[in-house]
Amino acid sequence: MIEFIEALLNPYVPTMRYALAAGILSSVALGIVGTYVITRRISYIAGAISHSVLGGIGAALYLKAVHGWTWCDPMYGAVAAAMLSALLIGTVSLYAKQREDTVIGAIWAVGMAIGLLFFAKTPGYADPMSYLFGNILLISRSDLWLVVGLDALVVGLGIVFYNKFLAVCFDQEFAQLRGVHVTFYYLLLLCLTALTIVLLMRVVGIVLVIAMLTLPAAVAGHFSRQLWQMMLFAIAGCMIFTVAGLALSYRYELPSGPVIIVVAAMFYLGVAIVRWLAKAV
Amino acid sequence: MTQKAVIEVRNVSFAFQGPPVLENVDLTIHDRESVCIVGPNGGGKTTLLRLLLGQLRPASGDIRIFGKSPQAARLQIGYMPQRAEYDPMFPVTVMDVVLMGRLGQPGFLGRIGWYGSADRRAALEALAQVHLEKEARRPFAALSGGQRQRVLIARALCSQPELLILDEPMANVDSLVERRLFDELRQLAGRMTLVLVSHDLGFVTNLVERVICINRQAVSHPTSQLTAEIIRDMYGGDVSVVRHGDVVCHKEHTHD
Repeated sequence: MIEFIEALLNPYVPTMRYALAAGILSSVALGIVGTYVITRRISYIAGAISHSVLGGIGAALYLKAVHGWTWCDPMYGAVAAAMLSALLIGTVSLYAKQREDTVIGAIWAVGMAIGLLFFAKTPGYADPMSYLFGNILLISRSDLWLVVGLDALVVGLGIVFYNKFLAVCFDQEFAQLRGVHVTFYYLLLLCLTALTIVLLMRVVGIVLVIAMLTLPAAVAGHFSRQLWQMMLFAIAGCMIFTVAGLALSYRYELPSGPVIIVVAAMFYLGVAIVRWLAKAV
Repeated sequence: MTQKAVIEVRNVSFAFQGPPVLENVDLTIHDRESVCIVGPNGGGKTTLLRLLLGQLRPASGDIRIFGKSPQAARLQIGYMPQRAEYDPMFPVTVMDVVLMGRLGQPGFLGRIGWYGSADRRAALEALAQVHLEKEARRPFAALSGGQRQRVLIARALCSQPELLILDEPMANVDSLVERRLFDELRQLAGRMTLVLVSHDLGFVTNLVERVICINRQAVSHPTSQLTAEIIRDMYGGDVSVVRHGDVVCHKEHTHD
């Protein structure tokens, strides 16, 4: 633990500070959006969105290397791909009722396939692994500013439309009869989910991020009477899991993304077992 | 005296795929009238309700609610759905659920869905009408089935609707609660237009003025002229009807 604090304070190595800042900032968005994802039961859809983000990352890297678009950061590609697949998957899930899971599963894989093809044709060293599973060494200062901006946007919209999202998650049919534009709020929720996934892309990666969206909110759900409480608990959980995960990964020289996820999963399992025992006794 | 029509259904037909569910339905429900929609399963009750709420559009014919299209009239309708399954893990309190009925209020805050003190007051008043004001802060999932049903009635009431549509309000309610619900509905009946969907004719005959039988077509019967024969025809078989002590009028039942 002391080594971790020393690493944070080391003026020559900003990596740990960036990773910690990205983790703590994105926890706010993860807690709020994760709560909506859990209660609206769309974690499968969120999984599809996050995986297909690889297509955008690959395309951005390719354009940067081959066409000299130096401004084209993989983060921009990720944002664009996330929004696109959120709208695509959202529309599919609204209109292709019977075959929803088939189409979503296909988009999931096709997005990844496109990404890998771009990676293959990008000259130089580009490793999909660091995007799939996170690599805190890749976090730059400009990434951090993008995280701040997206975080503010997601949190702002998630709070302003709280009551509408609550109604849409709880009883969509009734919300519609009260004049709530349910299609709009459903797609907006998927877009916010997509942006949240990009927030934590560098730290835990797009494959693992789905666990950070769902596990803290699922733990929080056990202790909450109202949706906003669930959000606050989920935010706190996210923060604890990322800080603990980063500290452990530094201490034992392990990749930080998987450690954060395993910490969250162990906590989730622990809470589930304690609650099960409490009920049984 | 000509009464203001709240619901006007003119020559409406509807089919999903295949044979029509509703065919040339004509129906007028007036201001402050209380009616009950009955009919056999698959007879088109739910379809008619969805048409009235603007969730479905008629294949032919026209529906006017308060002289407007059903979609445009939505906010003037208080609606209680037939017991949908809610996620028992969903973290909401009774108050949260009732407040959802206040969505769609005018003004900037109303548009983005923020509730003010007037909304909270209306929600508490609505809860008081179903005698659940003490439960406002409890988790919705902790209530009994009957209490949850009444919370959903309060949710429908708290927008102060001019038309109240209750789909099977007596489902999942035991007989003790039923009596109470009956009194609560009777109080509402004179103050707004009330449309009930019910299987339980005995319950509604003392509550409503007219029973509308939906079986591909709509036929109205004033409650005072209901006969055992009519009721048998409505359901296409024998049903036991518990009457609350009034006399069944013996009159020929014809649907033409």
